[in-house]
Amino acid sequence: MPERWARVVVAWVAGLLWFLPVAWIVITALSPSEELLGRGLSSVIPTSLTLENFNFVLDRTNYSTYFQNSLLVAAATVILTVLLSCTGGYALARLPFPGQGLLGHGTLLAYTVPKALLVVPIFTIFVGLQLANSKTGLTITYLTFTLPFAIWLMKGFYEGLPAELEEAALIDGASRFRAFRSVILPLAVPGIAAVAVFSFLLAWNDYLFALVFLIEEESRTLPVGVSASLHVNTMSADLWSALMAASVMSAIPVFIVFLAAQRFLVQGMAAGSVKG
Amino acid sequence: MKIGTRTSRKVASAQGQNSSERGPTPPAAILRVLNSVRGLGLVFVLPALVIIFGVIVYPLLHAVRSSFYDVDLRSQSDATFVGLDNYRSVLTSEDFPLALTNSVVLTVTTVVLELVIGLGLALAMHKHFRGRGLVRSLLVLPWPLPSFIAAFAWIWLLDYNFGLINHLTDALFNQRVAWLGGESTAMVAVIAVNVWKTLPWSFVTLTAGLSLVPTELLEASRMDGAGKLQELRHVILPSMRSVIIVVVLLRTIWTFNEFEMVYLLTGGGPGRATYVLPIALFETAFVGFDLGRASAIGVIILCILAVFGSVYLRQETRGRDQHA
Repeated sequence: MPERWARVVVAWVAGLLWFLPVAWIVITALSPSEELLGRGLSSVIPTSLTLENFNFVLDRTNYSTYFQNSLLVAAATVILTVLLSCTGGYALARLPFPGQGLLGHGTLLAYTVPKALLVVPIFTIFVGLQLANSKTGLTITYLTFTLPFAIWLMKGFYEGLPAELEEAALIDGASRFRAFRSVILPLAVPGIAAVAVFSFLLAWNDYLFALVFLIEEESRTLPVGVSASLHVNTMSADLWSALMAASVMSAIPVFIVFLAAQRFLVQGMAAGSVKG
Repeated sequence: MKIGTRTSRKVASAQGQNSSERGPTPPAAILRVLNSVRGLGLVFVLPALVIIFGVIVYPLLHAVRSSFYDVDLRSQSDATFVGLDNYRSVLTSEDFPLALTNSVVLTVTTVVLELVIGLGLALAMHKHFRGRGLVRSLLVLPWPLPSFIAAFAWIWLLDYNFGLINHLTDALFNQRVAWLGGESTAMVAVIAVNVWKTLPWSFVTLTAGLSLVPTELLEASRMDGAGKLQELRHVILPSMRSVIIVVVLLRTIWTFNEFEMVYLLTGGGPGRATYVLPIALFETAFVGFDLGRASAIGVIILCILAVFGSVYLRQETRGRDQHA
Protein backbone atom coordinates (compact mmCIF):
# COMPACT_ATOMS: atom_id res chain seq x y z
CA MET A 1 0.00 0.00 0.00
CA PRO A 2 1.53 3.30 -1.04
CA GLU A 3 0.28 5.08 2.05
CA ARG A 4 2.05 2.69 4.35
CA TRP A 5 5.30 3.11 2.41
CA ALA A 6 4.98 6.87 2.58
CA ARG A 7 4.72 6.71 6.36
CA VAL A 8 7.73 4.47 6.71
CA VAL A 9 9.85 6.59 4.38
CA VAL A 10 8.88 9.81 6.16
CA ALA A 11 9.70 8.25 9.51
CA TRP A 12 13.10 7.02 8.36
CA VAL A 13 14.01 10.33 6.70
CA ALA A 14 13.16 12.18 9.88
CA GLY A 15 15.05 9.66 11.98
CA LEU A 16 18.17 10.00 9.86
CA LEU A 17 17.95 13.80 9.77
CA TRP A 18 17.78 13.93 13.50
CA PHE A 19 20.57 11.44 13.86
CA LEU A 20 22.96 13.13 11.45
CA PRO A 21 24.36 15.85 13.72
CA VAL A 22 24.99 13.35 16.49
CA ALA A 23 26.76 11.05 14.07
CA TRP A 24 28.81 14.00 12.88
CA ILE A 25 29.95 14.78 16.41
CA VAL A 26 31.09 11.19 16.88
CA ILE A 27 32.84 11.02 13.51
CA THR A 28 34.68 14.27 14.16
CA ALA A 29 35.69 13.08 17.61
CA LEU A 30 37.16 9.93 16.15
CA SER A 31 38.91 11.52 13.16
CA PRO A 32 42.43 12.84 13.16
CA SER A 33 42.19 16.60 13.35
CA GLU A 34 44.10 17.30 10.13
CA GLU A 35 41.31 15.66 8.18
CA LEU A 36 38.79 18.24 9.32
CA LEU A 37 40.20 20.86 7.04
CA GLY A 38 39.12 19.31 3.78
CA ARG A 39 36.83 21.41 1.69
CA GLY A 40 34.41 18.99 0.17
CA LEU A 41 32.17 16.04 0.81
CA SER A 42 35.10 13.73 0.40
CA SER A 43 36.61 15.02 3.62
CA VAL A 44 33.58 13.82 5.54
CA ILE A 45 34.52 10.16 5.63
CA PRO A 46 37.61 9.79 7.77
CA THR A 47 40.45 7.70 6.42
CA SER A 48 41.43 6.50 9.84
CA LEU A 49 39.95 6.42 13.28
CA THR A 50 41.87 7.60 16.28
CA LEU A 51 41.50 8.18 19.97
CA GLU A 52 44.00 11.03 19.99
CA ASN A 53 41.33 13.68 20.50
CA PHE A 54 40.08 11.97 23.63
CA ASN A 55 43.63 11.85 24.95
CA PHE A 56 43.99 15.52 24.14
CA VAL A 57 40.99 16.35 26.28
CA LEU A 58 42.02 14.19 29.19
CA ASP A 59 45.65 15.31 29.18
CA ARG A 60 45.33 18.99 28.43
CA THR A 61 42.22 19.96 30.38
CA ASN A 62 40.73 19.33 33.79
CA TYR A 63 38.10 17.12 32.24
CA SER A 64 38.01 14.50 34.99
CA THR A 65 37.48 17.18 37.63
CA TYR A 66 34.59 18.66 35.67
CA PHE A 67 33.12 15.20 35.22
CA GLN A 68 33.22 14.37 38.91
CA ASN A 69 31.65 17.69 39.83
CA SER A 70 28.85 17.23 37.34
CA LEU A 71 28.23 13.72 38.63
CA LEU A 72 28.02 14.85 42.24
CA VAL A 73 25.67 17.70 41.54
CA ALA A 74 23.45 15.67 39.23
CA ALA A 75 23.18 12.73 41.63
CA ALA A 76 22.26 15.02 44.51
CA THR A 77 19.68 16.77 42.37
CA VAL A 78 18.10 13.49 41.32
CA ILE A 79 17.87 12.09 44.83
CA LEU A 80 16.40 15.25 46.29
CA THR A 81 13.97 15.77 43.43
CA VAL A 82 12.69 12.21 43.62
CA LEU A 83 12.19 12.43 47.38
CA LEU A 84 10.44 15.77 47.29
CA SER A 85 8.27 15.12 44.24
CA CYS A 86 7.19 11.64 45.32
CA THR A 87 5.82 13.01 48.52
CA GLY A 88 4.78 16.44 47.28
CA GLY A 89 2.93 15.02 44.28
CA TYR A 90 1.12 12.55 46.48
CA ALA A 91 0.02 15.29 48.83
CA LEU A 92 -1.38 17.29 45.96
CA ALA A 93 -3.11 14.29 44.45
CA ARG A 94 -4.61 12.60 47.45
CA LEU A 95 -4.30 14.43 50.71
CA PRO A 96 -6.46 17.45 51.40
CA PHE A 97 -4.66 20.34 52.97
CA PRO A 98 -5.14 24.07 52.89
CA GLY A 99 -4.28 25.64 49.55
CA GLN A 100 -4.18 22.35 47.70
CA GLY A 101 -6.25 23.42 44.74
CA LEU A 102 -4.17 26.48 44.04
CA LEU A 103 -0.88 24.66 44.37
CA GLY A 104 -2.03 21.81 42.21
CA HIS A 105 -2.68 24.08 39.30
CA GLY A 106 -0.01 26.62 40.03
CA THR A 107 3.12 24.48 40.18
CA LEU A 108 3.74 24.73 36.49
CA LEU A 109 3.45 28.50 36.58
CA ALA A 110 6.94 28.47 38.06
CA TYR A 111 8.20 27.75 34.54
CA THR A 112 6.99 31.04 33.19
CA VAL A 113 9.86 32.71 35.03
CA PRO A 114 12.89 33.08 32.79
CA LYS A 115 16.09 31.60 34.17
CA ALA A 116 18.08 34.69 33.32
CA LEU A 117 15.81 36.73 35.58
CA LEU A 118 16.27 34.41 38.53
CA VAL A 119 20.03 34.11 38.31
CA VAL A 120 20.96 37.44 39.82
CA PRO A 121 18.62 37.56 42.84
CA ILE A 122 19.33 33.91 43.66
CA PHE A 123 23.03 34.58 43.46
CA THR A 124 22.73 37.65 45.68
CA ILE A 125 20.70 35.77 48.27
CA PHE A 126 23.02 32.79 48.22
CA VAL A 127 26.06 34.99 48.68
CA GLY A 128 24.43 36.13 51.89
CA LEU A 129 23.83 32.52 52.93
CA GLN A 130 27.39 31.51 52.03
CA LEU A 131 25.96 29.15 49.44
CA ALA A 132 27.20 30.90 46.34
CA ASN A 133 30.22 29.42 44.63
CA SER A 134 29.38 25.99 46.03
CA LYS A 135 28.01 22.81 44.58
CA THR A 136 25.41 22.67 47.35
CA GLY A 137 24.03 26.04 46.36
CA LEU A 138 23.95 25.00 42.73
CA THR A 139 22.08 21.80 43.60
CA ILE A 140 19.43 23.78 45.45
CA THR A 141 18.92 26.04 42.45
CA TYR A 142 18.56 22.99 40.21
CA LEU A 143 15.74 21.85 42.45
CA THR A 144 13.84 24.93 41.40
CA PHE A 145 14.01 23.76 37.80
CA THR A 146 13.16 20.15 38.49
CA LEU A 147 10.56 20.31 41.24
CA PRO A 148 7.64 22.03 39.47
CA PHE A 149 7.57 19.59 36.57
CA ALA A 150 8.43 16.61 38.79
CA ILE A 151 5.66 17.36 41.27
CA TRP A 152 3.18 17.97 38.47
CA LEU A 153 4.16 14.71 36.81
CA MET A 154 3.91 12.64 39.99
CA LYS A 155 0.63 14.28 40.88
CA GLY A 156 -0.85 13.34 37.53
CA PHE A 157 0.57 9.87 37.90
CA TYR A 158 -0.93 9.33 41.33
CA GLU A 159 -4.27 10.62 40.15
CA GLY A 160 -4.24 7.89 37.54
CA LEU A 161 -4.02 5.22 40.21
CA PRO A 162 -7.41 4.10 41.58
CA ALA A 163 -8.20 5.30 45.07
CA GLU A 164 -9.45 1.82 45.96
CA LEU A 165 -5.88 0.65 46.43
CA GLU A 166 -5.23 2.89 49.39
CA GLU A 167 -8.72 2.33 50.71
CA ALA A 168 -8.10 -1.40 50.73
CA ALA A 169 -4.84 -0.96 52.59
CA LEU A 170 -6.43 1.36 55.12
CA ILE A 171 -9.28 -1.05 55.74
CA ASP A 172 -6.70 -3.74 56.32
CA GLY A 173 -5.36 -1.61 59.13
CA ALA A 174 -2.37 0.12 57.55
CA SER A 175 -1.54 3.70 58.48
CA ARG A 176 -1.72 6.34 55.83
CA PHE A 177 2.01 6.49 55.55
CA ARG A 178 2.28 2.72 55.36
CA ALA A 179 -0.36 2.66 52.64
CA PHE A 180 1.67 5.17 50.71
CA ARG A 181 4.96 3.39 51.18
CA SER A 182 3.93 -0.20 50.53
CA VAL A 183 1.04 0.07 48.13
CA ILE A 184 1.34 3.24 46.10
CA LEU A 185 5.08 3.75 45.87
CA PRO A 186 5.91 0.46 44.11
CA LEU A 187 3.31 1.33 41.51
CA ALA A 188 4.78 4.75 41.01
CA VAL A 189 8.11 3.45 39.71
CA PRO A 190 7.54 4.53 36.07
CA GLY A 191 6.71 8.03 37.21
CA ILE A 192 9.71 8.09 39.51
CA ALA A 193 11.94 6.88 36.69
CA ALA A 194 10.66 9.68 34.48
CA VAL A 195 11.34 12.21 37.22
CA ALA A 196 14.83 10.82 37.85
CA VAL A 197 15.81 10.98 34.20
CA PHE A 198 14.36 14.46 33.77
CA SER A 199 16.20 15.77 36.84
CA PHE A 200 19.48 14.18 35.85
CA LEU A 201 19.25 15.75 32.40
CA LEU A 202 18.50 19.18 33.77
CA ALA A 203 21.31 19.13 36.30
CA TRP A 204 23.89 17.61 33.94
CA ASN A 205 23.13 19.95 31.05
CA ASP A 206 22.73 23.33 32.70
CA TYR A 207 25.07 26.06 31.57
CA LEU A 208 23.81 29.44 32.82
CA PHE A 209 23.52 28.73 36.53
CA ALA A 210 26.71 26.69 36.61
CA LEU A 211 28.44 29.61 34.92
CA VAL A 212 27.30 32.09 37.55
CA PHE A 213 27.56 29.87 40.63
CA LEU A 214 30.79 27.96 40.18
CA ILE A 215 33.62 30.34 39.58
CA GLU A 216 36.56 28.31 40.77
CA GLU A 217 38.16 26.00 38.27
CA GLU A 218 38.14 23.01 40.66
CA SER A 219 34.42 23.11 41.22
CA ARG A 220 33.31 23.66 37.63
CA THR A 221 30.87 21.32 36.01
CA LEU A 222 31.20 19.96 32.50
CA PRO A 223 29.23 22.51 30.46
CA VAL A 224 31.18 25.48 31.76
CA GLY A 225 34.51 23.67 32.04
CA VAL A 226 34.44 22.28 28.54
CA SER A 227 33.25 25.55 27.00
CA ALA A 228 35.90 27.56 28.77
CA SER A 229 38.77 25.20 27.98
CA LEU A 230 37.90 24.19 24.45
CA HIS A 231 35.64 26.75 22.83
CA VAL A 232 37.90 29.73 22.62
CA ASN A 233 37.92 32.76 20.38
CA THR A 234 40.25 31.38 17.76
CA MET A 235 39.45 27.78 17.09
CA SER A 236 41.86 25.45 15.39
CA ALA A 237 41.20 22.04 13.93
CA ASP A 238 42.84 20.52 17.00
CA LEU A 239 40.42 22.32 19.27
CA TRP A 240 37.36 21.45 17.23
CA SER A 241 38.27 17.77 17.32
CA ALA A 242 38.99 17.97 21.02
CA LEU A 243 35.73 19.81 21.61
CA MET A 244 33.81 17.09 19.80
CA ALA A 245 35.65 14.42 21.75
CA ALA A 246 34.83 16.15 25.03
CA SER A 247 31.22 16.40 23.85
CA VAL A 248 31.05 12.68 23.22
CA MET A 249 32.43 11.90 26.65
CA SER A 250 30.06 14.37 28.29
CA ALA A 251 27.06 13.01 26.49
CA ILE A 252 27.63 9.33 27.22
CA PRO A 253 26.32 9.36 30.83
CA VAL A 254 23.11 11.11 29.90
CA PHE A 255 22.57 8.80 26.97
CA ILE A 256 23.03 5.76 29.17
CA VAL A 257 20.58 7.08 31.76
CA PHE A 258 18.16 8.13 29.08
CA LEU A 259 18.11 5.01 26.95
CA ALA A 260 17.94 2.74 29.97
CA ALA A 261 14.87 4.48 31.26
CA GLN A 262 13.24 5.26 27.93
CA ARG A 263 10.57 2.67 28.45
CA PHE A 264 9.56 4.24 31.74
CA LEU A 265 9.81 7.71 30.34
CA VAL A 266 7.05 7.33 27.80
CA GLN A 267 4.90 5.41 30.23
CA GLY A 268 5.43 7.84 33.06
CA MET A 269 4.80 10.88 30.93
CA ALA A 270 1.73 9.40 29.34
CA ALA A 271 0.23 8.70 32.70
CA GLY A 272 1.40 11.95 34.18
CA SER A 273 0.36 14.39 31.51
CA VAL A 274 -2.97 13.05 30.38
CA LYS A 275 -5.41 12.26 33.14
CA GLY A 276 -8.25 10.06 32.12
CA MET B 1 -10.17 11.46 43.17
CA LYS B 2 -9.80 12.07 46.85
CA ILE B 3 -10.14 9.43 49.52
CA GLY B 4 -12.96 9.88 51.96
CA THR B 5 -11.62 11.57 55.05
CA ARG B 6 -14.15 10.20 57.50
CA THR B 7 -13.22 6.56 56.92
CA SER B 8 -9.51 7.21 57.12
CA ARG B 9 -9.76 9.24 60.30
CA LYS B 10 -11.72 6.45 61.94
CA VAL B 11 -9.07 3.94 60.96
CA ALA B 12 -6.29 6.25 62.10
CA SER B 13 -7.75 6.85 65.54
CA ALA B 14 -8.45 3.16 65.99
CA GLN B 15 -4.83 2.45 65.28
CA GLY B 16 -3.63 5.05 67.74
CA GLN B 17 -5.40 3.22 70.51
CA ASN B 18 -3.91 -0.14 69.54
CA SER B 19 -0.30 0.87 69.10
CA SER B 20 0.05 2.31 72.58
CA GLU B 21 -0.41 -1.21 73.91
CA ARG B 22 2.44 -2.58 71.85
CA GLY B 23 5.43 -1.13 73.61
CA PRO B 24 7.67 1.91 72.93
CA THR B 25 6.43 3.91 69.96
CA PRO B 26 7.15 7.40 68.70
CA PRO B 27 5.28 10.09 70.62
CA ALA B 28 1.56 9.91 70.11
CA ALA B 29 1.53 13.39 68.68
CA ILE B 30 3.82 12.53 65.78
CA LEU B 31 1.86 9.39 65.04
CA ARG B 32 -1.35 11.33 65.04
CA VAL B 33 0.05 13.84 62.58
CA LEU B 34 1.44 11.20 60.26
CA ASN B 35 -1.75 9.22 60.36
CA SER B 36 -4.08 12.09 59.83
CA VAL B 37 -4.75 12.89 56.26
CA ARG B 38 -4.11 16.57 56.65
CA GLY B 39 -0.97 16.05 58.68
CA LEU B 40 0.65 13.72 56.25
CA GLY B 41 -0.29 15.99 53.41
CA LEU B 42 1.44 18.90 55.03
CA VAL B 43 4.55 16.96 55.95
CA PHE B 44 4.80 15.64 52.44
CA VAL B 45 4.35 18.91 50.71
CA LEU B 46 6.21 21.24 53.04
CA PRO B 47 9.84 20.64 51.99
CA ALA B 48 8.99 21.10 48.34
CA LEU B 49 6.99 24.20 49.18
CA VAL B 50 9.87 25.67 51.17
CA ILE B 51 12.22 25.21 48.27
CA ILE B 52 9.85 26.54 45.67
CA PHE B 53 9.11 29.55 47.83
CA GLY B 54 12.67 30.12 48.89
CA VAL B 55 14.32 29.71 45.54
CA ILE B 56 11.69 30.87 43.10
CA VAL B 57 9.14 33.11 44.75
CA TYR B 58 11.45 35.05 47.05
CA PRO B 59 14.14 35.78 44.42
CA LEU B 60 11.36 36.69 42.04
CA LEU B 61 9.98 39.23 44.48
CA HIS B 62 13.53 40.43 45.03
CA ALA B 63 13.94 40.94 41.28
CA VAL B 64 10.60 42.71 40.95
CA ARG B 65 11.62 45.02 43.74
CA SER B 66 14.95 45.72 42.01
CA SER B 67 13.11 46.74 38.88
CA PHE B 68 11.88 49.86 40.64
CA TYR B 69 15.35 50.95 41.67
CA ASP B 70 18.45 52.19 39.95
CA VAL B 71 20.81 49.45 41.06
CA ASP B 72 24.26 48.57 39.88
CA LEU B 73 25.04 44.86 39.86
CA ARG B 74 28.40 45.40 41.47
CA SER B 75 27.38 47.67 44.32
CA GLN B 76 23.86 46.68 45.17
CA SER B 77 23.68 48.73 48.33
CA ASP B 78 23.62 52.07 46.51
CA ALA B 79 20.11 51.71 45.20
CA THR B 80 17.95 54.71 44.49
CA PHE B 81 14.23 54.43 44.02
CA VAL B 82 13.19 55.43 40.52
CA GLY B 83 9.65 54.16 40.26
CA LEU B 84 8.69 53.23 36.72
CA ASP B 85 11.74 54.82 35.08
CA ASN B 86 13.35 51.49 34.27
CA TYR B 87 10.20 50.27 32.57
CA ARG B 88 9.82 53.47 30.63
CA SER B 89 13.45 53.33 29.54
CA VAL B 90 13.15 49.71 28.42
CA LEU B 91 9.86 50.09 26.56
CA THR B 92 10.98 53.19 24.70
CA SER B 93 14.46 51.95 23.85
CA GLU B 94 15.33 51.05 20.26
CA ASP B 95 16.38 47.57 21.24
CA PHE B 96 13.20 46.49 22.94
CA PRO B 97 10.81 46.26 19.94
CA LEU B 98 13.59 44.46 18.08
CA ALA B 99 14.16 41.97 20.86
CA LEU B 100 10.44 41.45 21.24
CA THR B 101 9.98 40.82 17.52
CA ASN B 102 12.89 38.39 17.45
CA SER B 103 11.54 36.56 20.49
CA VAL B 104 8.08 36.26 18.97
CA VAL B 105 9.40 35.13 15.59
CA LEU B 106 11.66 32.55 17.18
CA THR B 107 8.97 31.26 19.52
CA VAL B 108 6.05 31.10 17.11
CA THR B 109 8.04 29.53 14.28
CA THR B 110 9.72 27.00 16.54
CA VAL B 111 6.52 25.92 18.26
CA VAL B 112 4.48 25.69 15.06
CA LEU B 113 7.19 23.64 13.35
CA GLU B 114 7.56 21.37 16.36
CA LEU B 115 3.85 20.81 16.60
CA VAL B 116 3.38 20.06 12.93
CA ILE B 117 6.45 17.86 12.60
CA GLY B 118 5.91 16.20 15.97
CA LEU B 119 2.27 15.46 15.32
CA GLY B 120 2.97 14.36 11.77
CA LEU B 121 5.64 11.94 12.89
CA ALA B 122 3.53 10.66 15.78
CA LEU B 123 0.71 9.90 13.35
CA ALA B 124 3.02 8.40 10.76
CA MET B 125 4.56 6.08 13.31
CA HIS B 126 1.36 5.16 15.07
CA LYS B 127 1.02 1.86 13.29
CA HIS B 128 3.85 -0.48 13.88
CA PHE B 129 6.45 -1.15 11.19
CA ARG B 130 9.76 -2.92 11.23
CA GLY B 131 12.44 -0.70 12.75
CA ARG B 132 9.96 1.69 14.33
CA GLY B 133 11.70 1.38 17.69
CA LEU B 134 15.00 2.31 16.09
CA VAL B 135 13.55 5.36 14.35
CA ARG B 136 11.99 6.49 17.61
CA SER B 137 15.34 6.19 19.35
CA LEU B 138 17.03 8.18 16.59
CA LEU B 139 14.45 10.94 16.82
CA VAL B 140 14.86 11.17 20.54
CA LEU B 141 18.65 11.51 20.47
CA PRO B 142 18.90 15.31 20.72
CA TRP B 143 16.83 15.38 23.89
CA PRO B 144 19.46 14.34 26.43
CA LEU B 145 22.18 16.18 24.59
CA PRO B 146 23.39 19.15 26.63
CA SER B 147 22.65 22.49 24.97
CA PHE B 148 26.29 23.48 24.91
CA ILE B 149 27.20 20.34 22.97
CA ALA B 150 24.34 20.84 20.55
CA ALA B 151 25.36 24.46 20.04
CA PHE B 152 29.03 23.69 19.38
CA ALA B 153 28.16 20.79 17.12
CA TRP B 154 25.87 22.94 15.01
CA ILE B 155 28.34 25.82 14.89
CA TRP B 156 30.76 23.31 13.46
CA LEU B 157 28.14 21.80 11.15
CA LEU B 158 27.20 25.21 9.80
CA ASP B 159 30.76 26.41 9.38
CA TYR B 160 31.22 28.25 6.11
CA ASN B 161 34.37 26.45 5.03
CA PHE B 162 34.41 23.13 6.81
CA GLY B 163 30.85 22.44 7.89
CA LEU B 164 28.99 19.41 6.59
CA ILE B 165 25.91 21.42 5.65
CA ASN B 166 27.91 23.68 3.38
CA HIS B 167 29.74 20.70 1.89
CA LEU B 168 26.30 19.39 0.95
CA THR B 169 24.95 22.64 -0.46
CA ASP B 170 28.19 23.11 -2.33
CA ALA B 171 27.93 19.68 -3.89
CA LEU B 172 24.23 20.01 -4.70
CA PHE B 173 23.74 23.68 -5.52
CA ASN B 174 27.27 25.02 -5.84
CA GLN B 175 26.49 27.46 -3.08
CA ARG B 176 27.85 28.07 0.40
CA VAL B 177 25.98 30.03 3.02
CA ALA B 178 27.36 31.76 6.09
CA TRP B 179 24.44 30.50 8.16
CA LEU B 180 25.24 31.87 11.57
CA GLY B 181 27.19 34.81 10.24
CA GLY B 182 24.59 36.23 7.89
CA GLU B 183 22.01 38.69 9.18
CA SER B 184 19.13 37.18 7.28
CA THR B 185 20.11 33.55 7.76
CA ALA B 186 21.09 33.58 11.42
CA MET B 187 17.51 33.46 12.69
CA VAL B 188 16.70 30.64 10.29
CA ALA B 189 19.67 28.69 11.60
CA VAL B 190 18.76 29.33 15.23
CA ILE B 191 15.17 28.23 14.62
CA ALA B 192 16.34 25.10 12.86
CA VAL B 193 18.74 24.14 15.65
CA ASN B 194 16.09 24.88 18.25
CA VAL B 195 13.53 22.70 16.51
CA TRP B 196 16.11 19.95 16.11
CA LYS B 197 16.95 20.04 19.80
CA THR B 198 13.43 20.26 21.21
CA LEU B 199 11.33 18.20 18.78
CA PRO B 200 12.05 14.98 20.73
CA TRP B 201 10.15 16.21 23.78
CA SER B 202 7.16 17.30 21.71
CA PHE B 203 7.25 14.12 19.67
CA VAL B 204 7.32 11.87 22.75
CA THR B 205 4.56 13.80 24.48
CA LEU B 206 2.36 13.82 21.40
CA THR B 207 3.01 10.12 20.79
CA ALA B 208 1.99 9.42 24.37
CA GLY B 209 -1.15 11.48 23.88
CA LEU B 210 -1.91 9.72 20.62
CA SER B 211 -1.59 6.32 22.27
CA LEU B 212 -4.34 7.31 24.69
CA VAL B 213 -6.91 7.99 22.01
CA PRO B 214 -9.66 5.46 22.79
CA THR B 215 -9.50 2.65 20.28
CA GLU B 216 -13.24 2.09 20.49
CA LEU B 217 -13.80 5.53 19.01
CA LEU B 218 -11.39 4.79 16.17
CA GLU B 219 -13.05 1.47 15.44
CA ALA B 220 -16.49 3.00 15.58
CA SER B 221 -15.55 5.74 13.16
CA ARG B 222 -13.97 3.25 10.81
CA MET B 223 -17.13 1.14 10.85
CA ASP B 224 -19.10 4.26 10.03
CA GLY B 225 -16.93 4.54 6.94
CA ALA B 226 -14.78 7.50 7.94
CA GLY B 227 -11.70 8.14 5.80
CA LYS B 228 -8.23 8.84 7.21
CA LEU B 229 -8.61 12.60 7.10
CA GLN B 230 -12.01 12.53 8.74
CA GLU B 231 -10.68 10.17 11.35
CA LEU B 232 -7.97 12.68 12.06
CA ARG B 233 -10.24 15.66 12.28
CA HIS B 234 -13.14 14.16 14.18
CA VAL B 235 -11.65 11.51 16.41
CA ILE B 236 -7.90 11.88 16.88
CA LEU B 237 -7.42 15.62 17.19
CA PRO B 238 -10.34 16.22 19.56
CA SER B 239 -9.17 13.36 21.77
CA MET B 240 -5.68 14.83 21.82
CA ARG B 241 -6.91 18.31 22.60
CA SER B 242 -5.50 18.59 26.10
CA VAL B 243 -2.13 17.09 25.16
CA ILE B 244 -1.75 19.46 22.23
CA ILE B 245 -2.63 22.43 24.40
CA VAL B 246 -0.06 21.36 27.00
CA VAL B 247 2.63 20.94 24.34
CA VAL B 248 1.91 24.30 22.73
CA LEU B 249 1.79 26.18 26.02
CA LEU B 250 4.86 24.66 27.63
CA ARG B 251 6.93 24.87 24.46
CA THR B 252 5.91 28.49 23.95
CA ILE B 253 6.95 29.39 27.47
CA TRP B 254 10.20 27.44 27.29
CA THR B 255 11.18 28.80 23.87
CA PHE B 256 10.32 32.37 24.80
CA ASN B 257 12.55 32.04 27.88
CA GLU B 258 15.33 30.20 26.06
CA PHE B 259 18.68 31.80 26.70
CA GLU B 260 21.46 29.22 26.49
CA MET B 261 20.91 27.89 22.99
CA VAL B 262 20.63 31.25 21.27
CA TYR B 263 23.45 32.77 23.28
CA LEU B 264 25.82 29.90 22.61
CA LEU B 265 24.98 29.84 18.91
CA THR B 266 25.11 33.51 18.02
CA GLY B 267 25.38 35.61 21.16
CA GLY B 268 22.39 37.56 19.84
CA GLY B 269 24.04 38.49 16.57
CA PRO B 270 25.18 39.05 13.99
CA GLY B 271 24.40 42.64 14.88
CA ARG B 272 20.99 42.24 16.44
CA ALA B 273 19.67 39.55 14.13
CA THR B 274 18.97 37.01 16.85
CA TYR B 275 18.79 39.39 19.79
CA VAL B 276 15.99 37.93 21.89
CA LEU B 277 14.57 39.17 25.19
CA PRO B 278 16.43 36.74 27.49
CA ILE B 279 19.71 37.81 25.89
CA ALA B 280 18.73 41.45 26.35
CA LEU B 281 18.16 40.67 30.01
CA PHE B 282 21.48 38.89 30.40
CA GLU B 283 23.50 41.60 28.69
CA THR B 284 21.81 44.40 30.59
CA ALA B 285 22.68 42.68 33.85
CA PHE B 286 26.12 41.20 33.20
CA VAL B 287 27.55 43.57 30.61
CA GLY B 288 25.75 46.81 31.39
CA PHE B 289 25.62 45.99 35.11
CA ASP B 290 22.24 47.73 35.21
CA LEU B 291 20.37 45.43 37.56
CA GLY B 292 17.28 47.61 37.79
CA ARG B 293 16.75 47.75 34.08
CA ALA B 294 17.50 44.05 33.65
CA SER B 295 14.93 43.20 36.29
CA ALA B 296 12.41 45.37 34.47
CA ILE B 297 13.02 43.40 31.27
CA GLY B 298 12.54 40.21 33.23
CA VAL B 299 9.26 41.39 34.70
CA ILE B 300 8.03 42.37 31.26
CA ILE B 301 8.90 38.90 29.94
CA LEU B 302 7.05 37.48 32.90
CA CYS B 303 3.94 39.52 32.22
CA ILE B 304 3.86 38.44 28.62
CA LEU B 305 4.14 34.83 29.68
CA ALA B 306 1.66 35.22 32.54
CA VAL B 307 -1.00 35.58 29.91
CA PHE B 308 -0.01 32.23 28.51
CA GLY B 309 0.18 30.76 32.00
CA SER B 310 -3.34 31.80 32.83
CA VAL B 311 -4.64 30.47 29.56
CA TYR B 312 -3.07 27.16 30.49
CA LEU B 313 -4.76 27.13 33.91
CA ARG B 314 -8.13 27.86 32.40
CA GLN B 315 -7.61 25.11 29.85
CA GLU B 316 -6.54 22.56 32.46
CA THR B 317 -9.62 23.17 34.58
CA ARG B 318 -11.90 23.04 31.59
CA GLY B 319 -10.25 19.90 30.31
CA ARG B 320 -10.50 18.21 33.69
CA ASP B 321 -14.19 19.01 33.97
CA GLN B 322 -14.74 17.42 30.62
CA HIS B 323 -13.11 14.21 31.75
CA ALA B 324 -14.55 14.01 35.27
